[in-house]
Amino acid sequence: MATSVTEKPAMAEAVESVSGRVTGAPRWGMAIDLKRCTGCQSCTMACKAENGTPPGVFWMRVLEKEEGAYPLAYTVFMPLRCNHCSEPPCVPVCPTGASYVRRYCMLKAGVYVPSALVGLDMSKLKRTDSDLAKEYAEMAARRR
Amino acid sequence: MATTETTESKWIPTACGMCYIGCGLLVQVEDGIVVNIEGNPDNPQNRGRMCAKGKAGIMNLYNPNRVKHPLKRTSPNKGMDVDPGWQEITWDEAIDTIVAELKRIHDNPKKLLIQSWEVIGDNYFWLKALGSAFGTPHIMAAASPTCGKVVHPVEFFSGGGFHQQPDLHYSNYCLLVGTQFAISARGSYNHIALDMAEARARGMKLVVIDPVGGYAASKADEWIPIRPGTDTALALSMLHVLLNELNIYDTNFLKHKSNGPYLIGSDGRYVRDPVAGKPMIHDGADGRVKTHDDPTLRDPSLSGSYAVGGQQARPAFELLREHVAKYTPERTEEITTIPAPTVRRITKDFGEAVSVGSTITLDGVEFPFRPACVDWAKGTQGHAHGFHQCWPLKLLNIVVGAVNVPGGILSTGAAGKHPQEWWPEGGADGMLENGGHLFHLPHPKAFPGRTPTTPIRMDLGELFPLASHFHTVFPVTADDHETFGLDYGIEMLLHSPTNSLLGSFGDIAKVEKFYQSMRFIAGFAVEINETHLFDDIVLPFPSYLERYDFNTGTAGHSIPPCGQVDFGWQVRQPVVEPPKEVRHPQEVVMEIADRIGLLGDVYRIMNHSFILKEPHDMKPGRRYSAAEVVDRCVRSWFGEEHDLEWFQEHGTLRIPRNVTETYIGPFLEARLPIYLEHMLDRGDELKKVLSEMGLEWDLSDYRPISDWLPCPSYGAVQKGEYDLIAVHFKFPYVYGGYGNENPWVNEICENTDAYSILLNESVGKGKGIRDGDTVWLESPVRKVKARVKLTQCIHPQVVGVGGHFGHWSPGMPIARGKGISFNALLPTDLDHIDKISTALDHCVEVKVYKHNPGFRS
Repeated sequence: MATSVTEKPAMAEAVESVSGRVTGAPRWGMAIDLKRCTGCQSCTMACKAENGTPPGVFWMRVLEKEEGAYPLAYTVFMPLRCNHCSEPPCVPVCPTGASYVRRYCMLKAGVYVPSALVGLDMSKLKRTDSDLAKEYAEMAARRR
Repeated sequence: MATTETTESKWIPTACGMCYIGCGLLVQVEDGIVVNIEGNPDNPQNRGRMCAKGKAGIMNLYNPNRVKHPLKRTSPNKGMDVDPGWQEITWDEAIDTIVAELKRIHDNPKKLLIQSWEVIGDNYFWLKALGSAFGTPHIMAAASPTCGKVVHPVEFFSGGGFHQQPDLHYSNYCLLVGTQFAISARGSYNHIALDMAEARARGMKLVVIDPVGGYAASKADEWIPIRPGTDTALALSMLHVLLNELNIYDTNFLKHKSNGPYLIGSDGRYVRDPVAGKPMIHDGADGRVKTHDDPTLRDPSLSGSYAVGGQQARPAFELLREHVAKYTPERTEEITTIPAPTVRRITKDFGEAVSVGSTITLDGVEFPFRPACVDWAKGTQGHAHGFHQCWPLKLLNIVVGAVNVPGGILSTGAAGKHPQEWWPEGGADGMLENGGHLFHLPHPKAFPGRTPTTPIRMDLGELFPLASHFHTVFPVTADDHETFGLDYGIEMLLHSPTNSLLGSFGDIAKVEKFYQSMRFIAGFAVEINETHLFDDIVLPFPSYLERYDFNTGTAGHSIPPCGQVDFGWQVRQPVVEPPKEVRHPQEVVMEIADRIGLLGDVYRIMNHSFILKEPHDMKPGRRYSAAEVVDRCVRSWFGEEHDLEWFQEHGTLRIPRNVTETYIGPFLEARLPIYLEHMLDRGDELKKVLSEMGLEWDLSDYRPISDWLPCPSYGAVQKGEYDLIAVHFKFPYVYGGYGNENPWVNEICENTDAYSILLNESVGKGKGIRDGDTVWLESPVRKVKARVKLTQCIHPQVVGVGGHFGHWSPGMPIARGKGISFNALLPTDLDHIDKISTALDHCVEVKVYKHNPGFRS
């Protein structure tokens, strides 16, 4: 982590480069039409399958929030994901350095597009169920 | 082997097998390991999309607890909590044992039960063929105790296809009753989910009537809560408003395409002409009474009273109008808890939206245009009077002419021109009789029904002359042969990986007894589920990623997406080799058949089922590999150029469909019923047979026009011992197939609180129950601990139990102990089984009270 304001940490450089300010490359985002979302969790599953996150860790998930009162009650489905911030606040704060910025995110089958997905370095996470976490971590390492 | 610098990665097209639909997949395999599963964009059904279950398929393939070897039971006892004491054996020993057991009962082949439903592949057909060749009528082709029990018979005689689907491409108003169509569930899910979203974005109004305000209700323009088991009353009151208050109905359709004008005599039956026995119609054009197929018939009368055959007779439509007048919204409000003004409002909206009389031209062909429909499925089927909970809902579509036309309710897989031609056919009394089906199944029929006879079947199929399935009755007769005059019992069961013990019946204590009563059980298994705990022999079954299948799922044949969507065919091919000792189930069935001398018969049935023409039909005297069978099938259907190799490379074959294959209503030469006249004769015949057996059943459901009759739960909550009714609902990420043993699926279930039961927040508070509390959930036959989620999105009189959980098998360590099994709560006796369809009542009276942790249970 940076110890003085004049020294730009590698992390910030990486963020800037993918932010387009340095390279001029386009940055991709994702818009989700909440009127359409039915909370089917396909996206949650796709992200987990792609990135092999350990049990209980979701880089993409769909929150369910109830609104209204019976009988005028319904659930709102809120897909929640890494928002690929150009200056992700969650990265500099991470004390272990587990958070980092990755240059790509799998937005389309087989196509890596430049982005700023905040990833997690599995080796820096505390192990809970060691065998399973290891298998997930190895699968995630293969994906990188 | 030298390591390569670049990873060898390939994408292999195949078909998903995580549920019964069979979406098209592209599977990425790197160095022999499956690393990714994506939807195949070429498949016209899922169009490159994938649901949560499909994406999780990798975890099924690499399940460390998969069965990879034939197993034998060493424990002599069988029970829910008995350790089978599995011992690995050779295939030879496994098949020797099965063959010996089959030979043992061959003198009375009825002793064999086949359960062949599986997440659809060819073994579904092969196992059935083995059973038929062996000579048993006991073949369970369906899975659940509600699945399709009512909708299939209804479709066979009022739609022509297999299931129903709103025409999302043109609908402007879609009313869902007891189903989360295209949002949480149903066939061709990945296709209809997108179509539903597009329809809603385009402005289609969606109204959901359901005791649970779930996923579908949350996306709807309006959720209308309903008390469980009261759908008949709702539908009849809507029919009353439509026919008698608003006078909205399709006169033209009713006159010419329904039995509305058929004249009914004082005995409730058609008045028939004395020469040919045909039903009669009064022709308003010339005032004469004619046979229904008289070529001079111009203007059938829908009302009036006419002298014919020495009596006064009236058109069936008039009787329908009079009958439904008893069901005013004011009266049904007390039954359903839906306010009368709501019923009037939605009926008016529906009636206006359906635009009776309008037309639309598609590809140069003019069709009636009816952009509104009423759809229903599991929720309305699973009741003690399930047939009549559903039928008047179908009637709402029929009376406005909204069946099989643009915008209306479509019948799935009803007709097609390629690769062969199939079409529904009319039959008795000019009515729709034979459903259309791509495969040569025995023509799906539910009308006019079979003549009841004294049963020799253990599922009493002879006493359910209008049903398409019978298996819910097995646990009833297992307990008691004598009452039904049955002098034998089911002694052997051969089954697929499907978890029938937990999913195909109700009351788990009764089901356990049924499974214990069978002398020998052999089953195919991917994982050891609760059903396998009763097996004597377990045969390893390949993961869907390791199989060859010609039939890949209902999306290909019986529940394809409706509307003008290309016909698509694909095959299932292995993307990785199965473990060494895992064989293709169809090859195992061939070997068993060969050993007992039935291979030729099995081939004859399979050649017929798969419509294999010369020279592709299977010949007796030799065996075929699973791949060879698929190759023969695709060449027979699609020509020599489209052999297995072609499908393995290209994935999907697409054939465009034209509008006349899509919207068959105007071209169907058969009338649809609004009056079920045949019910009277079947009921009388059945009563006679039952009385000869010394039995008296409540046959009041054998009636031509529905009446609402309460489920046992309805009366039970009035009496006071129970105050709530439990119902089931679906989660989109577990629906229809493999469930929560998959660790990724389980994670999502834990994250969304899917394992909790739903209780209305105010009701919970009144009972001193807080969100997250552990409670006892008690039905008349079972008491379980459950965690509660308090919610606003449920009827106050209802407890919601979702998903397919409550597993306890040691072979399912991830699923074990999570959630509860809804089916296990259900009383299973003839009072809870629909006498028309055999659907098991799926609404059950329950009590919910806090579990005191200090009290040892």
